[in-house]
Amino acid sequence: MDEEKALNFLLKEADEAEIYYSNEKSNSVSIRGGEIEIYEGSNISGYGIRIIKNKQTGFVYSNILDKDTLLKAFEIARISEKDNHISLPERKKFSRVKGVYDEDISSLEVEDVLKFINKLMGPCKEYNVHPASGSINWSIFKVRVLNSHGINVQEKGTICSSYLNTVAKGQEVSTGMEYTSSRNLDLDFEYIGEASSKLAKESMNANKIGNLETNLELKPHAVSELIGSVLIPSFNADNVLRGRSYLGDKLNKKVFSDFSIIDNGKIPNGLNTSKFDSEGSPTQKTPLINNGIVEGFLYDTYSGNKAQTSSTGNSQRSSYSSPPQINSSNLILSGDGRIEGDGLVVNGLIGAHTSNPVSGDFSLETRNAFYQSKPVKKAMISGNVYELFNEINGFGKDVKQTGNVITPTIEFSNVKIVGS
Amino acid sequence: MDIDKVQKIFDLPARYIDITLQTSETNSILLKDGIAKDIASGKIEGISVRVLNRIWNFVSTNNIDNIFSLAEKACRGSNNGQEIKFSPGMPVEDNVKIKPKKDPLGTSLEEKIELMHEAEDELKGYKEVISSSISYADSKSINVYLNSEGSEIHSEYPRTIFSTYVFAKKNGKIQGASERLGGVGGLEHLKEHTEVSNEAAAKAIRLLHAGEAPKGNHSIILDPRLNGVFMHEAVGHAVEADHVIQGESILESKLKKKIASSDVTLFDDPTLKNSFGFYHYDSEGTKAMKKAVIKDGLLNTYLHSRESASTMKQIKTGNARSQSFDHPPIVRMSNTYIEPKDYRFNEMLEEIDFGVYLKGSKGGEVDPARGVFQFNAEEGFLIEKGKLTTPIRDVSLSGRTLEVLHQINAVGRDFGLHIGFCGKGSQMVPVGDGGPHVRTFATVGGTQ
Repeated sequence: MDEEKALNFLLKEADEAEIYYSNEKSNSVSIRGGEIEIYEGSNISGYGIRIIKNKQTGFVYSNILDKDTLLKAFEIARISEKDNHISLPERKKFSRVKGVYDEDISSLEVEDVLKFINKLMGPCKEYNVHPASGSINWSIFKVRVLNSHGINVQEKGTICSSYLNTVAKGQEVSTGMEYTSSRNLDLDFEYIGEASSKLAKESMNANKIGNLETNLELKPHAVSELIGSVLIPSFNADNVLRGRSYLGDKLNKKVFSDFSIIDNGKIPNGLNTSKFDSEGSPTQKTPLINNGIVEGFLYDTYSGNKAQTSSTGNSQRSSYSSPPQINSSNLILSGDGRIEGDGLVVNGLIGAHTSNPVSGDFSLETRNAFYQSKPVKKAMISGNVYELFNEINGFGKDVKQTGNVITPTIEFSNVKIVGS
Repeated sequence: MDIDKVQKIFDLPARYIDITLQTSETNSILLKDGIAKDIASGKIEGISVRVLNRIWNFVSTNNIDNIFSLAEKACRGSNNGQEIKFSPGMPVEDNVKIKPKKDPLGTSLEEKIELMHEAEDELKGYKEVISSSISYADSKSINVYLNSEGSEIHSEYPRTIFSTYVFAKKNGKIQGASERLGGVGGLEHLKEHTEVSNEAAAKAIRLLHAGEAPKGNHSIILDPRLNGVFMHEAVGHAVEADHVIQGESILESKLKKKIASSDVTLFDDPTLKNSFGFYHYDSEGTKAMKKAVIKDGLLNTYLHSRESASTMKQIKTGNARSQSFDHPPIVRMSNTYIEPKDYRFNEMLEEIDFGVYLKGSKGGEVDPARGVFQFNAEEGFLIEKGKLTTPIRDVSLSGRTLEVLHQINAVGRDFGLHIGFCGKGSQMVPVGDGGPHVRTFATVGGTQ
């Protein structure tokens, strides 16, 4: 049956009901050892269905809307435990967002992409490095949310992303990597190739350093890797309401150096920009930190009800088969102060996901680290993310969108480094 | 799904074609702070076709009507690039099915929720515990693998997983800890669900009182779980032949050479029944086999797909795995563990004047080309004058694969295997990591 019919069918029994539909056509060309290895193409679509009856809820997913699937949602709701905060969002006004769909991406053909691959690998020769692995991915997707409160929204989007890993061989091996994504076909493949090659080349003939305490410059990729694991979860209202967030009891308190983080689901061309979130609530701009003061948290409908506030439009799904969860959309970091330099510069981190999301403690190995402009063999950085962001020296001008974080390089003072 | 219907794909012009049909059903329950309100259930049916002419083309969809046009396009697109090496294989016909002892699909949701409440009730005895998430998930995947050489393999795998994540608070400090159970099979894996809760709570509370780790290079002992993750990260990824071919492995051209202390024999073993990394055939129909990756300190074999074995003119090892029908098979590990030797835990301790004992794993990552790894223990203890003393937290380790392998100077006589998930190239697959206790040297990262 079609989506409207399915919704009507559910509403014969349910108090509230929701149908989420997504279709994704994704493509990629990958290279291995400098040669084209594989072209991949997929076309995946399906439904996630939620119903609420007597404040009990059930979630089912399927690639077809048949009676058995819909009835299963009721079977689950009968057994699931009651919670008075459960509800689906009401219909609100949506404003337009820009730069989420690009015709040039949706009409890309493999032949075009093969030319981009040549651009991507091109700079390797000049730098005398080996293009070990890389890819160009492009996808076109459609999302629709329909619920019993009159929400009926749909949107289409595009994303193109690319990465290149390079290897330089001298007395020892050094590696380089660069990755970028965009909603438009404006990626500079030659730049990605060059940045990766340059990093591998410049990291050759690395030296040992001892243990020290110094300024630490985290480049945009490294900032994104670090805060994704340890800072962002503390803004999640689910963690806040359950007493699991370090920042939960610090609303309106100054916790950090003067800097700001804004979650903006509407920023033009943002990787996570959309008109509505995965429950059909409008997305918005939510200040999280302003001049070092904690100003807000990220809510979906359920946590908004529980906290007696409203959703910030931060419900997200990784696929139609996953129930919605709170997540940040596009996080924008900014601040004043100038970079002093002369310390350890780190381009990437190894194992950022192993940090302690509750206490904020981390100790991580670095990728492509340079101390006083010379490449470093091995350096671990350690500390606590909440203390680190209270020791900010300054911000660079090299703003980059990496994953869902938009940030320049950030410099911190007095960071402990374990050398080798 | 209809096997006859897809046969005509084999008529397309190609050097080699394989087809995977998959139906997977999952049920999951999340008990957040004692309330089971997040229950999800569903089913996905999908198909993929992989075509080899000059290069690979891989197409997938969960709408079977789309597959014919996708496959045709795949044949056209696979005529680009430099020709990939791929040796012919013999057809395999088989039907393998793992039957769970206690079938999740035959067990009611109520009974599963009851199990979770039992686990949650255990936490009520700890006054420091402020929040918990207990999760349960079962899945069943039914697969048909067909290839143009005439293979037809039917397989069916149930998997069950259960975890407890506990948060404890004292004097304004919060710590979290988790424990999990599971494997290929059903609810028979969950017998220790209450023990798991108690262990997670005790661990979270220990962390509240734990001190900071001493940074620097130290003698360390790894417990079986962390040893498994260490071997997986530091060695396993570097012996994946795709990394070797790409020029991204520290173990390139090290075959039959000494890369570790002669006490080390390391296995990749998908044949361990009911383990999380268990399978009969890999995702391109090669029979699973147990093999020594390191034998008495010598690098014995890389892990191969059919393509990588053909490229390197070596024997295929059955390590091509895919997350699900919509991902192409790539070289992966299964269960990774060191063969136990003769050391008792106490003997390992006695010989250390100052060092660190590291337990449990929060995961890790490696740069296989440079052979630099990082991983993080759930908790640790200082070793002073041969004895375990102060508990420590947030202990991470980093090192250079070859140095640390050569410095292994004691391998325990005990054995444990734990469940894990390994991510590579945006695909997650279930794996097992384990082994005995081992002793070596590495850089400990801490804040002290």
